[in-house]
Amino acid sequence: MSRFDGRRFAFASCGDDVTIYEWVRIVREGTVSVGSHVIVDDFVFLDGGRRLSIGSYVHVAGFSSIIGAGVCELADFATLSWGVRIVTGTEIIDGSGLTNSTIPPDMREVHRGRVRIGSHALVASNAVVHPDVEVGEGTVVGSGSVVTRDLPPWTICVGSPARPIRDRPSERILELEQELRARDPAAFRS
Amino acid sequence: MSRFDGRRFGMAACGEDVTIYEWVRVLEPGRIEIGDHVIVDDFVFLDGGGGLRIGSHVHVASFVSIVGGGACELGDFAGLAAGCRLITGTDLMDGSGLTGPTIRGPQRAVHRGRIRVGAHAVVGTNAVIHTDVEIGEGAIVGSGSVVTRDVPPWTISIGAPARPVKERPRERILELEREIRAEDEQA
Repeated sequence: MSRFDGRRFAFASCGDDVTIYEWVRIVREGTVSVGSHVIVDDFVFLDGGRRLSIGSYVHVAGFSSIIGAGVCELADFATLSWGVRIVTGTEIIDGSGLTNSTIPPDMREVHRGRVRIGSHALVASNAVVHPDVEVGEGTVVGSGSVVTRDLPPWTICVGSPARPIRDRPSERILELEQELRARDPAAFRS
Repeated sequence: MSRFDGRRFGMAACGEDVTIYEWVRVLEPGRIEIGDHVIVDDFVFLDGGGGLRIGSHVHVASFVSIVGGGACELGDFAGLAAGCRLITGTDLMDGSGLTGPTIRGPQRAVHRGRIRVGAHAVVGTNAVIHTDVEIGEGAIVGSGSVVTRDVPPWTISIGAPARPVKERPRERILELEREIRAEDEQA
């Protein structure tokens, strides 16, 4: 099993202790910035798009992808579980254009948006996050959910479209975050 | 990032301007036919087993799989979004047999069927299409949907099981299709 240091990629910036496994595909590396203590598993596909900012202590698990050529931000301590799709841009499907990458640009109607996954948020397996959505701080998105609008912080959300079903306690997590920040200030310099 | 011309795979037929990325896995290419102007992204798994026909101007996005040993047809201008699964065959779940490819004898009960995705149809991210389903021309299947029966043409369907929730206008799309076909013929 091979793994690479993140600094071997042509990222806009990359912190310490960044592990990218061998079978990760990254396109538009130059628009990607990565913090410290980050792990990206095999079979992940990342498109830097307009901008992809990955914070510190972020894990992207296998078979996940960030695509769509828009803007994406994964804040500190965020997790993408297995097979998650973050889609930052989309074809307009209202009949105003033809709809895929093989089509000349003047015959397509494409919207490039922005997705933000808040700190301590966790997107569970096979969930899909649509463009122009913010998953709030500390929020958990259940497996297989489809997120089509903003999700409030520190909630657990499930379903299609994903809706909050209960709160998630924040106190202990934020306390541990403070401890870790004190122990490892370099990881959070940017 | 490496890409290959589709003709290097020994497919039964392959047109012009077919891009297959390096990390695509193709089984039984001899049973696959592909038109012109097709893109297949990394991490796609295609099993030609029961016959796979891909039209022209088709995009198969990353992490899609077409599996199951049955037949599959993707119409012109169709798109499969990232991570969707087209399952053309299935083990019977009715208790009539053991399940899975490790059972090689008659103890396994399998049904191989057919999936057809119509022209201009788009299958959304991580959607699952079951065996013996036809996605009508111009139909959209929403992200994460599970399609267990036919989807009518020029509708938008979502959910599990997927059901039509509204119509999709076709006039401009068909007009653009005529334009692009005229351009392709000139080229």
